[in-house]
Amino acid sequence: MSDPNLQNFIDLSAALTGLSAELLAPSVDPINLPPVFFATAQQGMGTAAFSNLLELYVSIKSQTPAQIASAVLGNSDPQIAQGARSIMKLWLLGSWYQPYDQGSKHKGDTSVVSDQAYKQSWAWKIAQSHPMGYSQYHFGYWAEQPPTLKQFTGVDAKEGQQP
Amino acid sequence: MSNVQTQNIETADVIVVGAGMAGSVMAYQLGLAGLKVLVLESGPAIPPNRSEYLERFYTAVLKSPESPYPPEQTEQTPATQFAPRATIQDLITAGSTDPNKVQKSYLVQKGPQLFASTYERVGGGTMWHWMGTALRLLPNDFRMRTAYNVGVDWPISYEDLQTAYCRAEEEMGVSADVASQTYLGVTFPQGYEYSMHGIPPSLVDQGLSKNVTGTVYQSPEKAPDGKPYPGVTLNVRQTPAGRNSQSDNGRRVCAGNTSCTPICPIQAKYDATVTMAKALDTGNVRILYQTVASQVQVDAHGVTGIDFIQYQNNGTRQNGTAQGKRYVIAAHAIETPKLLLNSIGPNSPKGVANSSGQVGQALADHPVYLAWGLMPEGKPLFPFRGPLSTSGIEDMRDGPFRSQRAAWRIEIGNEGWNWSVNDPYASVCDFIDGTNNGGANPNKLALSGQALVQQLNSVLTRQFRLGFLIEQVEKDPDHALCRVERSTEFTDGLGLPRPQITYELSDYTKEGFKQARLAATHIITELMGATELTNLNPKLEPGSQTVFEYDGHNYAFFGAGHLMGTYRMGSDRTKSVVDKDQRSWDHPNLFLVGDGVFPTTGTANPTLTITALTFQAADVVASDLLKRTVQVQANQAWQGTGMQVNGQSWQLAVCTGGQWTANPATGMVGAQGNPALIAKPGYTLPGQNEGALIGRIGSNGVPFLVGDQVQLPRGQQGELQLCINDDLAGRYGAGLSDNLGSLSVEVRFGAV
Repeated sequence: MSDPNLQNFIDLSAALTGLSAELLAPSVDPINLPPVFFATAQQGMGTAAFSNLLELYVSIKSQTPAQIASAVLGNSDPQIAQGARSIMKLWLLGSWYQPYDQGSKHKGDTSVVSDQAYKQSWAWKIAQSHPMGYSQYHFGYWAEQPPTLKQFTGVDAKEGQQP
Repeated sequence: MSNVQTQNIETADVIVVGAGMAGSVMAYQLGLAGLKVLVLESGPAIPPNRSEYLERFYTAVLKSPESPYPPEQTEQTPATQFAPRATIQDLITAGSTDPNKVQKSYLVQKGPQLFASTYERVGGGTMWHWMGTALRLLPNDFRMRTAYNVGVDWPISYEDLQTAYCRAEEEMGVSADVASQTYLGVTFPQGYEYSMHGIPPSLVDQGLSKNVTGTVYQSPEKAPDGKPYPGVTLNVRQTPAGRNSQSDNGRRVCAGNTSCTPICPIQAKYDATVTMAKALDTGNVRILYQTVASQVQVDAHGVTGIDFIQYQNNGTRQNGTAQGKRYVIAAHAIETPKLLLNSIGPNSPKGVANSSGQVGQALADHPVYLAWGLMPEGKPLFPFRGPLSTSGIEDMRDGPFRSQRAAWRIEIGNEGWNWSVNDPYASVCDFIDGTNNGGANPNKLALSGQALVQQLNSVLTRQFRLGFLIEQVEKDPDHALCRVERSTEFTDGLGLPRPQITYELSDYTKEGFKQARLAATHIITELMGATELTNLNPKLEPGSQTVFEYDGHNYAFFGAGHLMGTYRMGSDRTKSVVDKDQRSWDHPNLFLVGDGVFPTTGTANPTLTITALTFQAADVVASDLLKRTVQVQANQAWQGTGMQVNGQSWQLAVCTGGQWTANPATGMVGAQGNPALIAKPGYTLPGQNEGALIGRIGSNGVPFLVGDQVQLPRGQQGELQLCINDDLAGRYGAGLSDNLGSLSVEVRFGAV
């Protein structure tokens, strides 16, 4: 990852979503969504607000993920706070939720970034599943217990959540 | 835009309008029988593969049933589209405050409620996004008037449709186990097996089954005599499915993509394009795509032609007429009456096939009551996995309560709250934004990091939903509240009047919703120990909506996509549009097939019944044109009938009269022969009655007993030959030479 801005975007995304930077941007990545999402967020937030967000991140990147999330999501600049939430949704859902009016786009406008963005979106993995219409599993898998949340996302399930 | 007025005449033996389920089965059966068939399909061609449809689905924000299919709904302009269709986007608009909503919705919705179901106009039809559920109707579904004094009786019984159901299940390749489907009077032929073994139950099914199966539901409602109805033992039961549990039919086995609707990415789910491909392979079937049937022309004797408009993507159009010996309209419960009602002429002042006034009447759906719950922490069901639905609770599809209120089946969803609240989208946004639009975030937590992942995982893996498919019954079936008419205000891009819908659920149907809500809450809270999150008080906004008030409570309903009624079959020509053969009472060379012929809806998803009925109608059409009666002489050995059997069609040989004998001393007999004399070796068919009617396929075929009637053996090809059961070589006496008489035998299409 040569572009420091892109790496900062990925690291910030990891802090906000709880998914590791290695999972969001694998070192071998034939699909290569991060630069697409970077461009999507930059365009959606507007260059200035997007830069402000990344600058803020750079200034606090040594802090814990919780502190970073608090500083970003609770930021007094609503464009930073709401833009960051749209970036979280982007990774989880593969769709861009326009956080505020920006150019010709209106708050709440939604678009699926690409077929790959949909197929790779993380909400389905968090559900220990697959995107509707994109199963990589075999006949009858639905009758068996799925792999664990940790196997899907690297995150342990809540204690007592799963059998 | 040019409109070239050259008159293009297309001819075939049979003209079929619509290349969906019914049209494909009709074309295939007639093509097999050797008839030339022309299919007129309003939409674009069946694509060589589904990648373009899939791409559109993946990138659609609103992943509604129509989302994969052309034309894209980026603009709602039915007035300029050539083959517009009803869509979810239209429905949303119709319920909104958009000042232009009437122009934007293809269906001209006149209320008081909105008709909530949609369909496609593409090659293959709406089968592209059917769920795959292949349930049979119940015996009592055919006799609602007799059994419960509501609705109307069908002119046929479950028994009459039994064999056709088997044929439909074979054609679609249904996966199910007979033992699980034998309930509430449903029977199967001895030794019957579905094409493939059943689909395994999902973890959601298993979780429900553990808590529900074997419990007795005591409905709080009372019978007219004031006593409670008998309790009903509930079972979570495998759903028969037109999807592959094996892959030996050239299509892949189901991989559980959880998107049967809107699109199966791998065609593990059967759809009508499978049958249409076989129809085209007969070499006798042609399709004209982007060809909209615009008017049915009739004279005093019947249909003389169907006018059509063929359009190109660049906007050019050409008019034409399709002419044949028989005409079949297979355009479902909205487009079929639209075409008939648009066909006003000197011999059809109220529209074609409409002397009864019933065309367009009694439009029905299975309005769906959705209920959903969240399991306690630590008890996940792992939804969003497997086919969209693999089990149901069917035990309340019939019962004495049907004299008072609508029955339902309960479909168990495998897609969490996707249908009910659009999850995972709603919950993801809720836990990021600190909102509670989906209902899973009552404390309005705004989370991030691993806590977000854990909370979403907890919520998404504990969701489940129940869909109650409610029988829709008119209060007065001869004066229906729900109907399709021709709009006098709005047209489509070809200038054809659009369908205008009046839709109002009866109190009988609404009472079904009330009881559904009570049963849902019982299952979700009492049996499952879950938190119910169904919206129990949906807002009733002004204007026509998919919400109604009944007995002091509001109910939301959803469309099932099950369009039924509007050209019902019956035994009284003044109260029905087609007879039991699905032949128009008014025009004997016109057949109307598909879900529109259903006199009542029952609670089974309709596709299997559409298919079964179409097999029967195809038999009648083929027999109309190809049946032949031959005389079989007693004093001759094997006699050719001139009737070629192709090994795949379902054909019958039926003795229609005559007498003969293989031995004048024992008297004349019919086709069953003389039961007192059993044929010896050297006879046509040893072991059967002497003098019986015997058949074989081709000169080397194995003889079989015909008797009064027989289903010709499938799998053999050649000419049907017939013969009396006698001592062919004269081994025991005079042989054939002393025989007397002959039989008339009709060879036609059909099933015993």
